This record gives sequence, structure tokens and C-alpha cells, in this order.
Amino acid sequence: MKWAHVPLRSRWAWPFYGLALLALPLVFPGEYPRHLLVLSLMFAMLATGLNVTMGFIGYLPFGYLIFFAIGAYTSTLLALHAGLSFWLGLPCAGIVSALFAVGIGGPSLRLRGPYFAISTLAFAEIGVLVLNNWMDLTRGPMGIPGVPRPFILLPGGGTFVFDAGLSWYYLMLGILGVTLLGVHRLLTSRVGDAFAAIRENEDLAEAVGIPTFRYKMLGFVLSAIIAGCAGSAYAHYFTIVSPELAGFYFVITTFTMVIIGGQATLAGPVLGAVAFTLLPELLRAAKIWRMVIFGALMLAGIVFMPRGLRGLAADAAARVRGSGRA
Amino acid sequence: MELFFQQAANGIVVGMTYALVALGLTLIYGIFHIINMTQGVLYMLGAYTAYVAVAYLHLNYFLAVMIAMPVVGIAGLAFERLSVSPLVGRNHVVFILSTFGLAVIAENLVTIAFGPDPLGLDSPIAHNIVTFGDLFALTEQKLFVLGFGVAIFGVMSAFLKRGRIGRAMRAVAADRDTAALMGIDVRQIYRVTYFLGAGMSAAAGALMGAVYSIEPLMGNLLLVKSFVVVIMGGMGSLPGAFLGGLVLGLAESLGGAYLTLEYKDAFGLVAMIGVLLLRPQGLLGRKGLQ
Repeated sequence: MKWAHVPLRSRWAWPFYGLALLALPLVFPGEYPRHLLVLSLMFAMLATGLNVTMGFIGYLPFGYLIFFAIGAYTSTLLALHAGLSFWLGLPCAGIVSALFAVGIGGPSLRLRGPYFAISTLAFAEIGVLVLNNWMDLTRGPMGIPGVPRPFILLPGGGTFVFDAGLSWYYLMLGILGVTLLGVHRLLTSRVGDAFAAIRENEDLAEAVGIPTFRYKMLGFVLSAIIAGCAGSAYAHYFTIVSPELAGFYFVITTFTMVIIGGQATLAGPVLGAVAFTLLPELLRAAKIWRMVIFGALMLAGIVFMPRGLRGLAADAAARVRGSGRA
Repeated sequence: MELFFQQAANGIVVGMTYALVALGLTLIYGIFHIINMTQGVLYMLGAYTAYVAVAYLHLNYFLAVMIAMPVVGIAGLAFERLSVSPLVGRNHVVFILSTFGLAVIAENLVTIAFGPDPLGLDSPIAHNIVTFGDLFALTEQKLFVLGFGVAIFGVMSAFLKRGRIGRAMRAVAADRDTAALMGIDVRQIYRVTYFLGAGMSAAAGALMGAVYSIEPLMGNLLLVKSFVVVIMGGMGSLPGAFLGGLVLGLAESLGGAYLTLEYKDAFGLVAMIGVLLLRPQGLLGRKGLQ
């Protein structure tokens, strides 16, 4: 049987993918591999949120990671001071991130190209300054430890605590699944068309009557909500938050994932996130070279494969299908 | 009142660093219309080049400053080859990411080579203090920073105004295609621009490295500061970058002394967001390279 005849994209294939995803952590027993899987899913979510503004609308939100930090701190502070559980903290993190996105996007989205990027960066830098200096609230650079794990009450009266890699894997799979489904629904609607119009030619989009500012704001807020929820999950998984969440490491990692994975596709950032969570772990010698490799891949990705891994995969699939027919 | 003058003097010295890095950033923006995220790294490389010259080659500090400029200038040419010229014609936003990727590589290579901890770059005049009446006192090193900064700005302005290549650079900034039709080698102008922009940042790094200490991430905050300066002064405006740098340094120093030390880094950022919204061409900005 030739590869071209495998119905990879048929609707009958999807249940198999679903089963494979569910079985994945069972194939890799042990806390460490499962931890990497959970981390992949968190980064996949973070990258998906970035991709909405950067890939689909074509605006570069350089300060994006501040929403990740805002979500993480919101959920943490609500859990520690108001006793809110993760299940309420997560939506609150999304809402607070969304409010900040409206405040930051209002002025920033009136700017274009590099100016938008720098404006969001400036807001993010201010945010990091606040996180580092508002000691009473955030404990500054020390961060806040002791974020409680999520739990559910079982019908029998016991509680089930999400404290292991396995339970977190399924939890994150669910959250990411809902996120991807939502983004997919949005992009296949008129909103997706408006995003594409803005990305390709904003003046023309404006001229044909698309309220571009409103759509840009919608996308930017959606990015922030996704980042905020990812931040909340991160906080309750690692049980500690710090201003580092909006720092260089996360910025580089997330942007590399989206660029190498493939912008403006749904699967691209997910692919990128999985690849770049697992890759550095596989190259154990890479420890100190890790950031060098990330930087090099980021640069090489932009120069040599503007459409990312997802683009390469699509090209390869087209070639296989082409040769299959011949 | 002594506090005021002392803070103002220190602020102007710091502002001179902002000005030098911002000059490089604005020059490169004027010609390429890109945001060069490696500008902070070039500053850091200037400091480390001077450090290597002083600590390993046992050269005189002042000679080390003079060496750092062309050496980092050449590194700048390599940066241009790697992160800018392959992307000419693409959307302006990709340059932010490509130069950012390169900055990450360079910063981490330096970290691997020299370690993440601060190192000391020794200048023979770092501890000689000059007092100005009862008003304020500065080290000779800081006075050297001021003098050197003013000299670089003067030479650059004269070069752009009267020099053959300087005039060609302004022509390319105004209209690249027409300049090319007039027989200007645009590729050469690109290289000269990057060389000069890198050299000016390197000078700032080699100068301030001897005032503070040097570390691989020293250029990051400075890059953000020079964005602030360049945007407030007008993208592509040399006098704007120079004055903007001094004003920002002064504002941070005085604001840090009298208002809030913790949030002094936020002054410039807030001002920049305001300028972006109300006067996107900058306070002194007009179109083209000035």
C-alpha cells in the first residue's frame, strides 16, 4: 500500500488520533516523560495563543508573555488570598488577562508594524517592573510559592488531587483541546476571513468596510485569554510563579515554537511546541547550548522556511500525493 | 541642591550611553527601515572586546576602546549578512524576529565563553575624581564618556552632512531606488551603515563597561531604553536620538532621586507610549535621515 492511499485526513482517522493521544502517557510510563508531555501541552497552548495575533492577523505582539504572567499571578493570588480553586481561578485568569489586553491593545493596535511590536513590549516591560517591585502583592523577584494543586470531590466523599503527570496530561489535553476547537471555530467563521484580510492588506480591508480595529482587538484579546489560561495552568502545575514567566526564556521559547512550527496554521504551533519541549531534552549535551540552538533555529526558520514545519509537512504530503498519482 | 546637580551630572553620563546606542539604532532604521534587535548585543560586544583587549592582550584601555569599535563594526557586517540581507523585501516585522534570534545566539555564546557573572573592565582613570566647586563631582572616566560621546556625535553629523558616503547614505534613506539610479552602490551603503551603527554601540559599551561592570545581558535593558529614545526623538533623526538620550538619562536620574527609585525605568516607557500615540513621528522627527 502506498502512503498516498492512507486516508490521514479522513473523518474516520480522527478517532484513532484521539485514542493515540489518550494512550500516549501510558506508552511512556514514569514521571519524567509525562512531565515533558504536560510541558509540551502547556507550551502548545501558549504558542497557539501567540499564533492568533502573530500568525493569523499578522501583528507581532512582542510583549505577549506578560499575559502568561498576568494569568499565572491572577490565579495564584486568588487561590492564596480568596481561596478560589483552580476551576474558578482559570476563567478568572482568562478574564483578567482579557481586561489587560483591552487596556494594552486600545492604544497599541492603532499602531502598525514595528511600532505595535515595540508598544506591546513597552507595556510588558512596565508589567515586569510592577511584578518585581510591588513586594506586598507579588513578593518581587522571589516569586510566590505554594500555589495549591487542583482537586475534585469524588462522589464517594474522597478527593482526587491533580498532582501527578498522568492526571495533568489529561487535564491539559482537555484544556488545549477546547482551546484549539474554539480557535478553529473562530477562524473558519467570518472572523477568520477578516483576520486574513487584515493580514494581507489592512488598508484594503478597511476600505471594503471591515471594522479592522475591532477584529484586531478581538484577536489580541483572544491571544491574551489563551495565554492567561495557560499561565493559570502553569502556576497550579509548578505551584510557583515569578516574574520570570514574562522573561526572556519564555519569550524566546514561545516565539521559536510558533515560527518553526508554522505561523497561521492550527497544527503548526502545536507541532513546534512539542518539538521544542522534547528536542532540548533529547540533546542532553545541549544544556548550555540550548538557547544558542533556539536562537539559531529561530533565525534559520525565518530565513529558510518562512512557513515552518507545518509548511514543510504540507509540501511533503503534496509531493507524495503527486507521485502516488503518477 | 548638591543632590540635584550630582544626580543631573550622573544622569547625563548615563544618557550619553543611551544616546550612542540610540544613534546606531536610528541610523540603521533610517537606512533599512528595520528595528535592529541586536543593537544591545553590539553594545555588550563592545564592552567584551575591550575587556579581552585589556585583560588578555594587556593593551591600554583607551587603545582597547578604539579597537572595539572597528572589531564590533565588522561583527555588525556579519550580523547584517546573517539576519538582514537574506530577508530584504520581506515584511518589516520579520526583521525584528531575525535580529532577535541573532541577539539570543550572540548573548548566549558570550555567556558560554565568559560566564554569566559580571566582570570588571579596568580603566586607569576610573577612580580619579574631579570636583566642580561644591556642586558635583565626576570621575575622569565619566568625563571621558561625555567627551567621547559628543565627539562621536559631532563626527557623525559632519560625516552625514558633508562626507561623500554620508551624503550617499542620506540619499539612500530618502529614496533607495532613485539613489541606485544615480549610481550609488546601495549594497555598499548598507554595509557602511551597519558598520557605523555597530561601532557606535560598541563605543558606548567599551566606555560604560569601565563605569559599571560588564555582563552578557547588559545590553537588554539598554536596547529597550534606546527604543524609547529613538521613538521620542523621531525614527531616523540623529539629533533626536542624541538629545533624546540625554533627556532620558537626566529624567531617570532626577526622577529616581526625587520620585521613585523602583519605577525609574518605567518613566521612559510611559513617555514613549504617549509619544507613539500622540506624535508618532517623534518630538523632533521628520521623514528621512537627518
